[in-house]
Amino acid sequence: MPKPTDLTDPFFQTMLVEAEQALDKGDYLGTVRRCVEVYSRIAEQRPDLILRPPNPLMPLPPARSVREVRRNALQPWPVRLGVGISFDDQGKPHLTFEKEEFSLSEAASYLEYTLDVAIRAQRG
Amino acid sequence: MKFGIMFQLQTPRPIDADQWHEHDELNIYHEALEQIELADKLGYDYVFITEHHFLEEYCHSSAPEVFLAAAAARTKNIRLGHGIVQMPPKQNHPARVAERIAALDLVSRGRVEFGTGEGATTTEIGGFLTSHQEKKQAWEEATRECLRMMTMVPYPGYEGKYFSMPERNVIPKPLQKPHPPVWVASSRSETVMLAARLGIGAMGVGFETPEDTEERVTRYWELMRACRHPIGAAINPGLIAGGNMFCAKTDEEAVKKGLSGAQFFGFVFGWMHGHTTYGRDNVYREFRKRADAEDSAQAREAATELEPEDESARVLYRMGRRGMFMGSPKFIRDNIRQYEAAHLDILNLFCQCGDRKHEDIMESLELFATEVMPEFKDRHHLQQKWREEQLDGVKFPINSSI
Repeated sequence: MPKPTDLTDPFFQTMLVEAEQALDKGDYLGTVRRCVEVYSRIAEQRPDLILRPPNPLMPLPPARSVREVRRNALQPWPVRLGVGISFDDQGKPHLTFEKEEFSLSEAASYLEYTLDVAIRAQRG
Repeated sequence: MKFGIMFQLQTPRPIDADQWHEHDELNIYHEALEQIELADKLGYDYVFITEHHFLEEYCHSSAPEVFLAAAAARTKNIRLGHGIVQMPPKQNHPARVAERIAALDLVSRGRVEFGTGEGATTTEIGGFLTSHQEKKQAWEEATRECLRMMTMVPYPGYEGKYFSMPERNVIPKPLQKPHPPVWVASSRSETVMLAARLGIGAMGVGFETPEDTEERVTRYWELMRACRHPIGAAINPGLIAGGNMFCAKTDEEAVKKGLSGAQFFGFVFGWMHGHTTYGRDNVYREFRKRADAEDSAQAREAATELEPEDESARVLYRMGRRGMFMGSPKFIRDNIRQYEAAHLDILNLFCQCGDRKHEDIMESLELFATEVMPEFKDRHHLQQKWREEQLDGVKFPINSSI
C-alpha cells in the first residue's frame, strides 16, 4: 500500500503528508481534520468511492467450492472513531466532528483509511 | 512461514433440544485440549484462542487464560496465544491482564503471545457497557498501561480516561523480557498499519486473501521501520492471516467433512451481528433448516468471484466458504505458497467449528502437519532473512517468536 508522497494530486499529497506530520507530533485533531478535508474533496470528485456505512449483513450464500481472490475491498468511512457521516437527499456525504479529542490510534486509523481512498481515486 | 491453530470453542446447540446437553461444553473444551496436545507433538508453532462473551454457539471461550493454562500443562513447545484479550477496562482491568499474562508466561515457561483487541459486537461489549465509540481509545490506553505494568518497578500509577489506579508493583512479572510479543486483532487494513506504527504485530482476523496480504505487507514494514512511538518496550513485527482449514486425502472428502463447519461459522457470525434472543435462539437448528432446504432443492447457483463490498458482509462471505485451506494436501499447499510469496509470517487456521467431528479434526491436523507444513518450515529461514533485511537499522528492542 502506497504512502502519502505517492499521491500525485498536489492537494491530497500536501494534506496527507501534513496529516502524517501532525500525527508524529501528537496533533491528532490536526491529523483528523486534514483527513476530513481530503475525504470531503474525494466525495465531490469521485462519489463512486463513497460507501454508505455498513448495511445489514447479507444472508449467507450457499457454499461453493471456489477460490475467492480479491484485493482489499473499499470500505465505508469509519463512523465510530469520532467523525460521523450523513448523506443528504442528493446522496452527498457530510462529515461531522462528534468530538475534538482523538487518540493516536483513532487518528492513525483515519489517516490510513483516507490514504487508501485517495490512492483508489488516483488509480481511477 | 509458521503455523498456528485458532480456537473459538464453537458449541452448536443440539438440533433436538433448546439448550445444550449436559456435557456439550465439557466435551468441546477437552476435545480442544486434545487437539492442541496433538498439534504440539506435530510441530504446529502456535495455538491462539479468542475471547468473546455471551456469543452463544459462536464462541464459548470467555476465559481464555484458564484454557491456555490448561494447554500449557499439556504441551511443551507450542506457543500459547491470546487471540485476543479484550482490553477496554470495563471488560478486563489492565492490571488483571498484566497479572494473568505474566502468570501464564511463568506456568508455560515463556510461551505467551499477547494478542490484544477491543471486542466487537454489541452483544459482548454492550454486556460490559462499553460503547463502540470508545473502544478503540480504551484499547490503546489500556494496552499501553498494561505493558508498562509488566515492565516498571513499581508501576507509578495512572489517571486516565478509561481507568485509573494508584502506584503499585504489579506482580508477577512475565518470564519473557521486557514482555511477551504483542499483537492487535486487525481485520481492517488501517488497523494493520496502526499496528506497525505502534510496533506490534497485526493479527489478521478477516480471512485475508494472498492479495490482501501482499498489499498490506509493504506499507506495514515501511511503517514498522519508521516506528517512533512503540506502544510497548519491545517491538513485535509480524503479520498473521487467518483461514478455515480442513485437510483430507481428497478435495471431495475435505469438503464433505469440513464445509458444514465453515458454513456454520459464517452463519453464526452473521447471527451474532443481528438481533439475538439471549438464551433462547437455537442458531444451529436455524442453520440446518437453511442448509438442508438448499440441498434438497438443489439450488446450486453458478460460482461467483464477486465478494460483498461491505466489510462485515465480506468477512461473513469468506468465513462461510470453502476458502483456500479446505482440500487435499496439494490444494492447500498450492494456496499457501501464495501467502508465502507475499511474505506472510504466520498462517492461523480455524479447525474446530460447527459440527466438525473431533476425530476428523485430529486426522486433518495430522495430515496437514505431515504433508503440507514441512516444505514451508524448511523455507522459513528465507522469511527470517527477509525480515532481518526489513528491520535493518531499527533501533528498538525486538521480541518476536517468528
